[in-house]
Amino acid sequence: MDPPLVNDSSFSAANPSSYTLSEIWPFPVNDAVRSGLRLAVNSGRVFTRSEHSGNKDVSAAEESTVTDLTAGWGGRKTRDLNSEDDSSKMVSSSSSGNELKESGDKKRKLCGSESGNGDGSMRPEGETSSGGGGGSKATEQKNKPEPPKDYIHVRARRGQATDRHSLAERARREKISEKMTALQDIIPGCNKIIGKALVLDEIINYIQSLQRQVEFLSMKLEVVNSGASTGPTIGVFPSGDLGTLPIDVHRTIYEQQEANETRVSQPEWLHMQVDGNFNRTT
Amino acid sequence: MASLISDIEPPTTDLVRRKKRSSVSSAASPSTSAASVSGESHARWRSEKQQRIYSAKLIQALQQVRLNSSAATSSSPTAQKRGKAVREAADRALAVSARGRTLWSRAILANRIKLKFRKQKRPKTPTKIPSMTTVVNSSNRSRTRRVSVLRLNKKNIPDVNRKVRVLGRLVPGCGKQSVPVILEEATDYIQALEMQVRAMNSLVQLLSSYGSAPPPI
Repeated sequence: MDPPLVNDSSFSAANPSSYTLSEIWPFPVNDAVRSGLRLAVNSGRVFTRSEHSGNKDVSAAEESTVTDLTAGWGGRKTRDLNSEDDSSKMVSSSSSGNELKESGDKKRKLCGSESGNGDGSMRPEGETSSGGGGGSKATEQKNKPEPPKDYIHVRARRGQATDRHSLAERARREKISEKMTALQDIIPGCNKIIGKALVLDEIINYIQSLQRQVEFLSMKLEVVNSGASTGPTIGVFPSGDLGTLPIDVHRTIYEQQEANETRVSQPEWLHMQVDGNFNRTT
Repeated sequence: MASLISDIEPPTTDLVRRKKRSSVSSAASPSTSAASVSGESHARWRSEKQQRIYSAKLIQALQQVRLNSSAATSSSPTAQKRGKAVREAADRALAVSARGRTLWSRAILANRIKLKFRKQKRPKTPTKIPSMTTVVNSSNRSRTRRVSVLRLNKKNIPDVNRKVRVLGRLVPGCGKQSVPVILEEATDYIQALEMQVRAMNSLVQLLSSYGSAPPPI
């Protein structure tokens, strides 16, 4: 890394014994800049060390600055590590989330692309929210691990693991339970049943009964069809005009449905409708 | 008559749709996606318009079946086919009115096409009378899709998964799908079946009452 501030010409010209930070860099510095500057100075020192290898003063001065630099650099490194650790608790894009199982006690929002800034604001959120399911969910890993999904925003519950696999499993389980509740709403009498297995039993029975009803009705229709084709309806259902019939059929179907629902049957009205059509066609 | 129909149609469907939407929005459901899944399909299969479409198609299919059976009594290959003609016509009409968005509807329609395709392919081989009978037999057997009928009792699958597999075998076309797909298809299939039952019920009543009461001369 080339120090842009200093170059060999300035070093060779200046007095080698008076290398201090304040002389080289006359401007005021703060921590971040100083650490960066120390790096630059160190590389400059290293560069000049090769030129003035025999000078003991320089080496002594260099050592002091080198230690200073490493201390500064080390401090910065540890600071970065801390922030990285916190960010990896929240962002599980890195795959090294296994060691977080023990530490996953806080409730945190999982964001895909955000890095760990403002983790102090996240913590009070975690403390106040209510605790969710048991810790058994965290250890349940018997299903095969699914491939990590694309940054679903999931809220991890208290006491549950925050690694990718259990999160993906939890998302999958929630989807399935959503669909089960949707099915429960459709099927009559399923609201009181608790437990997925019993609900599924009801669903299977219901579908089978519906299919049997369709079968029975189709046999009935067949009888009506064959009966109608041989009976007096050949004249009534002229094949050319059958296109007009469905319209009235639909109307009567709807009225019939509403009539059935309101417990009022109108057979004579039906005959009137159909007879009206018949009169029209002849 | 047609104008009367058109007058009736918009208000009822709008009213029905508004009712369905308000009921859906006011229904307390745990998650929005569950309500959207069931609510949207609920409105779809329950609307008068859908029933109208289905009954029109059903009547056309029944006409065709009647024509087929009356025109050529020996054209239908087996007795089974003749017996199941109405049922299959009804199922196909239902699948068509599903507009091809669901797995089961596509499977019902694909079954029929596969059967036709296989029947057309076979005659390319030297056609003799014994081979015709074998064609018929194999087409009947190959019509049913190869769902894995391995015993689910012997495996150690947990209870819920086993029942979902059974459910998948009931719904056409979902024999080897994953659990959430089967559940979603079952939702739509149940609503479609309910509509089919209602339509066929009213059709039978209508036709039988029409047939029994002689028209005035």
